[in-house]
Amino acid sequence: MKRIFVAAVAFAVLLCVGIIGGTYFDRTCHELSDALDESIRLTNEENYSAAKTLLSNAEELWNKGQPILCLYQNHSYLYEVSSKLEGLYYLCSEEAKEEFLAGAIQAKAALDYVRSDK
Amino acid sequence: MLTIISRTAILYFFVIIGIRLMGKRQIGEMQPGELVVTILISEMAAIPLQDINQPVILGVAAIFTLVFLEMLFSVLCLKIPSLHRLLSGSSRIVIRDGRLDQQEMKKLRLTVSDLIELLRDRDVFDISTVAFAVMETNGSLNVLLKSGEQPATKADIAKKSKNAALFLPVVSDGKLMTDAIKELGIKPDDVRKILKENKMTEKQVFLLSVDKNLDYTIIKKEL
Repeated sequence: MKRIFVAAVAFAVLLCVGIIGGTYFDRTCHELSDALDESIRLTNEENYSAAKTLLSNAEELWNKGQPILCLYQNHSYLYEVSSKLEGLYYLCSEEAKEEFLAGAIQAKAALDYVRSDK
Repeated sequence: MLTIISRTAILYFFVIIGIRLMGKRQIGEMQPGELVVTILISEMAAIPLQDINQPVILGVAAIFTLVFLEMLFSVLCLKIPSLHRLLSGSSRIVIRDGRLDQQEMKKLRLTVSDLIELLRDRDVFDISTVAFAVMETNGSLNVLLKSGEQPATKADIAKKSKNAALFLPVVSDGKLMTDAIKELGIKPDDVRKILKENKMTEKQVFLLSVDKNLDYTIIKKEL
């Protein structure tokens, strides 16, 4: 019975790690998605400085969460979102509205894919 | 390269823990569920090794989920015999009093040649000598020969024999093994007495095995 107890404890720990990590994953993705939506709105209003600040914070949030996000999702998918965010910041800096909006839609699609594939 | 090495080490560690938790069984003695779990564990462990983009924890989580479910079902099978029958099946008698039970063989999808091969594996070459042959759930065949065909035992011929005694090496490659002497409950002087009887010193002995009754086997060093 000792072995089943150890196996049950290990399973319970993994379950907790999965639930807690999954919650963190969802929250981070949700925050990033909100930041992207807001940056799209700001760019449409041509408020590029605010959009840049928002994107910078969003990128920092995403990068800070990478060590934990990497435990739950394919690394290449996460990297794709990271690279799209970097591109968006650059486009925002250059005030390239059309390109930014297209890039933001792609970034959102990549983020949605990461969330759905969790 | 380092990523692959560290992932392999991590997964190896967790697979070992998982297999240890399930308990040791030879492949041939595994129940169907255990065999399935063992195969699945190896497949699950291979996925994060083949694709380094996949998180290692996914493999670990899958392994421990399988181990836990397997152990849970094995405990439930102990408590609920019908569940055990459902998951593992039940043993079937395929030969009764030298006659094949064709109905059972058909249910087991067991051909005659398969059965003959299994019998030969049990040193049985004549079906008519078999009282019962039972096909177990792990695929092995256990055979009970008819009384007249079974090898004679000492009880049958009423021969007195000594109780089986444990022989331990007390001198190995010229060295006295004090642990073995202690284990047998004899004294080092008893060992020296044996050596003296055989006109040998400790250094000349390759192997001296003794039991508690001081029966012994001695082999001299040749080199």
